[in-house]
Amino acid sequence: MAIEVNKCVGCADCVVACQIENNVPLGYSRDWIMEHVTGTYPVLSMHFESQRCNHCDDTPCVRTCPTGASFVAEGGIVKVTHNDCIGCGACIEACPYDARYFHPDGYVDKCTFCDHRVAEGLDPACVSVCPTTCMHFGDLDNPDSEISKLIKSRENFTLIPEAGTAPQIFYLK
Amino acid sequence: MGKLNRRDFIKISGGAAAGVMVTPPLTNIFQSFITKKEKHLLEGEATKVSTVCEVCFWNCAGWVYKDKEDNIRKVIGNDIDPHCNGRLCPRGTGGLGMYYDNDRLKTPLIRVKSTDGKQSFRKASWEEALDVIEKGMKNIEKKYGKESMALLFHGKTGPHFEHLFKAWGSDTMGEPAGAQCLITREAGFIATYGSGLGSPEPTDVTNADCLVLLGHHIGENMHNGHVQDVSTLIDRGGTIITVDPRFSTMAAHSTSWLPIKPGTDIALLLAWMNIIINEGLYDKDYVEKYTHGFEELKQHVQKYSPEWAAGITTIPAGDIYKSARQMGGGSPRTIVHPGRHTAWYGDDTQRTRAIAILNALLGAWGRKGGFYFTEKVKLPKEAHPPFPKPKWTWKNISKEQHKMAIMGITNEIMDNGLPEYKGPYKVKGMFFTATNPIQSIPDEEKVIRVLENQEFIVVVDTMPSEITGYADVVLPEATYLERLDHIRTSHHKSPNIALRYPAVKPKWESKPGWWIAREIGLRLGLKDFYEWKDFEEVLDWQLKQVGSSMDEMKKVGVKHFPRKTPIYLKKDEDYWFNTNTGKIELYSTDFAEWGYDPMPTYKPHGDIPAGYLRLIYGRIPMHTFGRTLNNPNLNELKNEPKLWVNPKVARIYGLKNEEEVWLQNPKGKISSFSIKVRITERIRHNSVFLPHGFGNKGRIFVDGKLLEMHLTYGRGISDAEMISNVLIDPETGGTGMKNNFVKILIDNPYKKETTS
Amino acid sequence: MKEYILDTTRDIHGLYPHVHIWGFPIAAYLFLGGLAAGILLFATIYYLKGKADDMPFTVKIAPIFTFIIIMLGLVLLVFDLHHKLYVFKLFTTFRIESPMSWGAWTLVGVSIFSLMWPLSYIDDIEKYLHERGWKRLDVVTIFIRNLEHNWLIPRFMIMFFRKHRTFFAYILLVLSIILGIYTGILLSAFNAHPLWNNPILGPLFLTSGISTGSAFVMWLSNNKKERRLMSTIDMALIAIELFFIIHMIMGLQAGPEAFKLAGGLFLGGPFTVTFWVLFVGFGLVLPFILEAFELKGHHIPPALPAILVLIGGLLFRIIMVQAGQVSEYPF
Repeated sequence: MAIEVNKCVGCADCVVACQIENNVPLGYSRDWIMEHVTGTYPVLSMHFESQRCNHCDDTPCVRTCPTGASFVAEGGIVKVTHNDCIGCGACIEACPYDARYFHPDGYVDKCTFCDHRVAEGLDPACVSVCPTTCMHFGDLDNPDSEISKLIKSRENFTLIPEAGTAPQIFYLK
Repeated sequence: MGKLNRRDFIKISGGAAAGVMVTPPLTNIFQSFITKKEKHLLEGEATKVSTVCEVCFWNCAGWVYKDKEDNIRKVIGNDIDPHCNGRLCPRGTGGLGMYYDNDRLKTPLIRVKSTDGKQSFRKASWEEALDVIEKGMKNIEKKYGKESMALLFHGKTGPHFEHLFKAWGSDTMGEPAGAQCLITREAGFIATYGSGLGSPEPTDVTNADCLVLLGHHIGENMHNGHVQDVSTLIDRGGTIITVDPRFSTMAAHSTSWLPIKPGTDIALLLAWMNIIINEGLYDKDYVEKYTHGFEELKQHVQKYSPEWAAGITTIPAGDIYKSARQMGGGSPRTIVHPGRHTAWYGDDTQRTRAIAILNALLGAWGRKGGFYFTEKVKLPKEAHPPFPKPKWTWKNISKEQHKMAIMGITNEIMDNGLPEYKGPYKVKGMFFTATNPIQSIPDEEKVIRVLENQEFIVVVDTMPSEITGYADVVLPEATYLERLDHIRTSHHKSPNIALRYPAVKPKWESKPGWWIAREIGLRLGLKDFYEWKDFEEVLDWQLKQVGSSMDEMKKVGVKHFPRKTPIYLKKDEDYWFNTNTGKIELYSTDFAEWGYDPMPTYKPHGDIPAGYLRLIYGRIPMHTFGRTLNNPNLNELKNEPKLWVNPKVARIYGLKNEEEVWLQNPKGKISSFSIKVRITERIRHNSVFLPHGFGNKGRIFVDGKLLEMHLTYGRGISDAEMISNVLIDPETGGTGMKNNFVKILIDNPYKKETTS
Repeated sequence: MKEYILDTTRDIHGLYPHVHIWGFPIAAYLFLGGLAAGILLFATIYYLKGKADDMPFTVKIAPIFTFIIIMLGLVLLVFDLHHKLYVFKLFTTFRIESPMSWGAWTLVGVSIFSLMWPLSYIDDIEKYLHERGWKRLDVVTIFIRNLEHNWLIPRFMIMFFRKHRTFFAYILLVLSIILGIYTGILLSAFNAHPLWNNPILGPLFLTSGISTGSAFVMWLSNNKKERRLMSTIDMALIAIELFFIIHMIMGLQAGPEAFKLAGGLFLGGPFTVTFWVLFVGFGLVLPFILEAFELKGHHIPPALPAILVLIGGLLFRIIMVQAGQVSEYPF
């Protein structure tokens, strides 16, 4: 996924769309908005980051899961099989991004890149609703895909790269 | 993306040995423990109903998705609707929460006398409630005349009640969206161009090269289509200049931000005119052909030099020159956006006039990349007998004093409801629909005195906001997802219409606005004005007049019509503007005649009193002020406001982040609740900022049980509570509210000191 | 001034202001695991050294407790799960990269063997109890004797165990080391928490676990020689622990910013006093001094240093679990 932070206005459409699309219970959210401000008035800069599970390439959460409930599905999407999860919380401890949480039903839940929509050829709910169209989703393994070309053409950053998880959400400046 | 296959074995990236998986058949027995989870709604399984969102005035068209059990699951934008281009904003996406909100008004309520000071009501049937309304309105008619029954309305419910009141014989009506919001902008543009802007504003941002925003905080106001347009402008690398005293979202995404001292915008605008005229950056042909009063203007702005403006606005002269040159360089594809809520300092019509003049100098009006000409599909109104002529209307109240008052001035209508008003245009009964004057009309103390002086108050609403407590009768209206309303006819580049059709039956005992108005109308003997039984008949007839039908609109949601008038001025085309001179009036002949400044001048608005901070209010993108605060889905996103405080101020007061503080205004009024502090560099050291709409204190008791918007009651501070200094715009009567100040109180002013 | 703030409400329990989903149950479970590992380590080592009869408490009696300790740990673990009904899924697979999976299976192995070990010594245990006049537990010993005599499978299992005791001792030795060290590796595998993410944590937890094991034996044994031996060993282990701790903190201070912040939690941060005064002071240094006095000839009740070490061990894990969750990579 790629998110252009020079356009994002932090409206949280992605957050509410995800909640409604995935029946996330009230009081929980799979994605959230962070605001980043630097400088001193009046020399300031700011941007918003819509954050969620980064579906890392080097997943510390899948590695630490004792039952295999956390796994990497096709396309690099990291998922949790609810009925294999014992709710031990190891994956929540393993994630540096606060992406995972205990669902009130007991298992661990997080962003799934709306794989049920991806399977139908649609974008995840957050990407398809964003009014500034600053969110992009596609195949990062294919160097010729729109998203790969977009990321290559722009200065970008990922979250906490020093944690060594190889996150797959790129924030484009 | 191809079809996704869920594999049963683990794929560990990094190539380590795959885990050994053992699945004894025993596990299958335990699958019955699976809790019943909501399944995703797939595209093919959904029923879609066409709707027009009502969470804000942008009225995007969309589709309500229902599952097989007929439950509303989500609302998605209509792809061919130019207001949203298939993408709803967060409030539209969360709109279904309005339907599911359990704090909604469920039944009609009638006031009961209470001895303990609580606002008490009892549940009543529709029959009984409507009878009480009939009696109440007839009482006002008998004692004072129909004109003394005033209507304050908002949103798409308004027209139903406008029709009712006009049919009955009262034209004492207005909406806060006028005097409290955009009337000053309309006045400024009508005086210049002969026409206002309307909604949505016809700014051709998708073709613009330069966009100048004065306080118009796109991104914090989620004006859907415009946020999308600005996003495309950023993609194109266009120039965006934001003039704002605080570092707004738009300021962060602009090419330059001018941190202006609050209240000095006219100085900046005049200085810009000075530079653009003197450096020849204006569109000479355009100005020559289409404008009147250029020489007067040129002379007028000579004394407003950039250096002079720099001292007043605290923006360096160099930046003023640079931005003027950028604007000139982009001409005619430059838009100086007038914004929307323009009631600031009491000289607001003059300020928007200055913006209109600037746009004219740059040749933007009627040009590609500037402001396009609007065209609307005219839906004929259903036939009815002529409205009776009331003895007096809102015009009698406001028009004499304010020549540019083009609609009822709500605050003046309310002022005539005060006990001390002794004039001929008394207001003794009020009807509120979809508006909450406690938060929307400034000077709360005065508003409450008006309400307490009324003999009959009716409130039609979906939620129990503060005004509900003052009503004699409360009627529960159905939400936009459950009702029909007038066809939206939009004046976008391509004229289009959109249908709002009820997706589900009204919940509990709520009813659509048209039904309520009709029932009251029938009881008032107005059956000639309601010759139809179901509003759908009216809409179907209207649609057929323009070549469509209910069936078609239900299928497509939005229908575009070809333009009959040109969208831009053709080169060298003669064009008659709807002004006295037939030209764009840089020098306003009407204003000169009426004794207002024919050209804008700068007047200082006074300094901040010692010990106080300027109160700047604004918006946040996930809420529409009070309308959405209790919506569970949107309350999820933000349930309380934060007070922006500059670190210097925080140091002086000794404030910590997230600390709870109270506010007090110079008149001594203390806020009802507290607010958490956010220490940020985004606000000037002499101001604080908070979003409008919070601090709800509406509580009523229905048959002894408490009813309130429990998710938002008591959360944060209402800026409306703190606003007591109201500056009236002479041309329109609009209420300027930005010259208000507050002091921060750290200790809880409501904690009683215990002495041992 | 820099702000990096959450703009939407996300009041999920256990995530803000920093992850805090693991608390006392997990810390207690780690402590109990380490304690059981320590006791079994000594039991098997001294058995293999042929000291089974010289040190009957260490080799034959102490392992009785391990089964109870491990069961208690498992109860705490299951109690802490959020999806308890599915706990059996832990045992439907073995995930080689997951320390928790290692732990789950090791725990099963250790609990089975730690049950068999005292069962195989049932005669010696009965004799030991009668020597001290403990007749009340006869009910249990007679029941087990009955099992052994009258039922084929238990008899076969106990006999098999007795015959190949040496072999099983080696297995149990390896398993107990894995148990002791896995509690540390479990935490050090989380690269999201810099305080945990260092390789010393495993050996440190193992040493701490063995130390608690020796303290336990020292406390309850009635054999003076055994107590002296355990006391000496404990002193050595405490010294090694102190060395590891200093090493760990120095290593953190020499690392990247996130690691320095983690170390800072103990060097002026919120955990400074609890760590250095309560744990290092009362849980390590004070017992060391008391044990030294004991060896020098002053009479110190063995319960005192032992209980200090045990509580210190529990406190250590509580601190590490809490502080670890506080230490994060700043965004």
